[in-house]
Amino acid sequence: MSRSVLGRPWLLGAAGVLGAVALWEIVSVVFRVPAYVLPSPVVTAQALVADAALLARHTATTAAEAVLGLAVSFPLGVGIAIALSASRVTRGLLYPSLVLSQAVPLIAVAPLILIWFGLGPSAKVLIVAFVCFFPITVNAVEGFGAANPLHKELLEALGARRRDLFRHAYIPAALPGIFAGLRVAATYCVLGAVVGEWLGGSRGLGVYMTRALQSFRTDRLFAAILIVMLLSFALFQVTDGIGRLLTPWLERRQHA
Amino acid sequence: MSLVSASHLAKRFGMLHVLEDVSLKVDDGEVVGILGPSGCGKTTLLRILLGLETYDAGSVQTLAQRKGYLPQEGHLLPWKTVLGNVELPLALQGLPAGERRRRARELLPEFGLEGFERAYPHQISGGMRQRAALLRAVLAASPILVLDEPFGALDTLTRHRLQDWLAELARRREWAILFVTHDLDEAVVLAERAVVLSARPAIVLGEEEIAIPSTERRERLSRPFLAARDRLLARLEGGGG
Repeated sequence: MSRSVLGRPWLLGAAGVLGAVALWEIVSVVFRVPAYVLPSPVVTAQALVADAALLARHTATTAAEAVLGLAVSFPLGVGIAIALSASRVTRGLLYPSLVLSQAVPLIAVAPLILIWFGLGPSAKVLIVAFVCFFPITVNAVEGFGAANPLHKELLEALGARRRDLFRHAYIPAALPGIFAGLRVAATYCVLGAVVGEWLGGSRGLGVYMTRALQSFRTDRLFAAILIVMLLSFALFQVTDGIGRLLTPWLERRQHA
Repeated sequence: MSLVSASHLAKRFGMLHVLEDVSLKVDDGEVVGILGPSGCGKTTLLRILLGLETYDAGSVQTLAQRKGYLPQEGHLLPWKTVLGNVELPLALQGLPAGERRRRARELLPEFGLEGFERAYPHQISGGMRQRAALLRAVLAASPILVLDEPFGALDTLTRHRLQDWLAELARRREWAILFVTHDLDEAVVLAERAVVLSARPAIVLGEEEIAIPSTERRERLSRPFLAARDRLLARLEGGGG
């Protein structure tokens, strides 16, 4: 029994989630918590079904912003990592500013981006990119740094030029790091889009959430939160899957 | 005409005096072994000849732009399959994929790698990894193969097998090879000529022609083998190392 469960760790994860939901239902029923304070899972599910069409439209907007922002942050993050890895001068020059840029609270940066780029989706894409490029950069820099200098020498002895080194040594060496960063970014990107929408705009889950809050429809807020969680989880899984496809040489254990 | 020649090479790394005065040459079709104690600067010498390291005095001449280089640990790229690794030099020369595969596949059986084209380096044995690394060096199609302790990391049995195999292959194909080793047996099995280096800072203690028929080289306890081994040992010890 325990053996078959351990062989499929996602079963354990699912059991944990189900347990938490059950506990939540029990608590909200037994203690008669008002729905505007803590809606029970059943009430949340009812709100989800009742508002499904509207939620679907808002979800589409948020998902598009999140994915686009992630798509922008990927070349941005890797490009910055290449610049940082290329020489000590660029690293010394740029790295502190980058780290400082991440020390500015998102809640302060996001309104600025909205002022500069308007309330439309492009501003949200930029907010997502701002949130997502950093984990990609940091992990890619680690990855490039992990490249074996002896591989470089071997390639040079075989007649490799600089771009050959990138293609055959540096990029593959950095790929596991780049995907580690991308996985983190994939979990951040939905959050970034929601924060952007929260601060202003007319569409998206963030907008829906502010409206639900203003009318004390906590059940709708929870429904939206549930969607945000599922969306983040799905993006993480997709990113992870692509990473596995592109790094077939890595030995993996059977963990999900 | 020598494929590679070096005269009066000297090299220091800061306070560390590695090479004092080393001269050697490798002619076409010749198998030359550089024999010396561990840490005497053999790898540094190879790296200088490969153009991977600078030197402080002396001169180096080489005919080959590309060198078929087999580093000590093989250094197959872990993200490439066996086929991807061995065809790498052809890829660097810009050959189309079909032609690369064809040329690599031709040689896979002789290197005992047939059926393992799609395996990653960590999935095959150490001996197979070294054979793959050697095939990669061969496919560089350079006039000379440069091997750094090619079988040093392998167990004794595998090492002996690969030494015999390489000796036979090198003679049949008339390859020019320059290799370094600290292993007397390896020098006797493979080399037609051995250059004996002293301990650091290295000077050339002497050269030995090893004129043993190829069929007898694998007999590690035969009289001619042991005689050649003794001569090399005498050179090594006579150098006050």
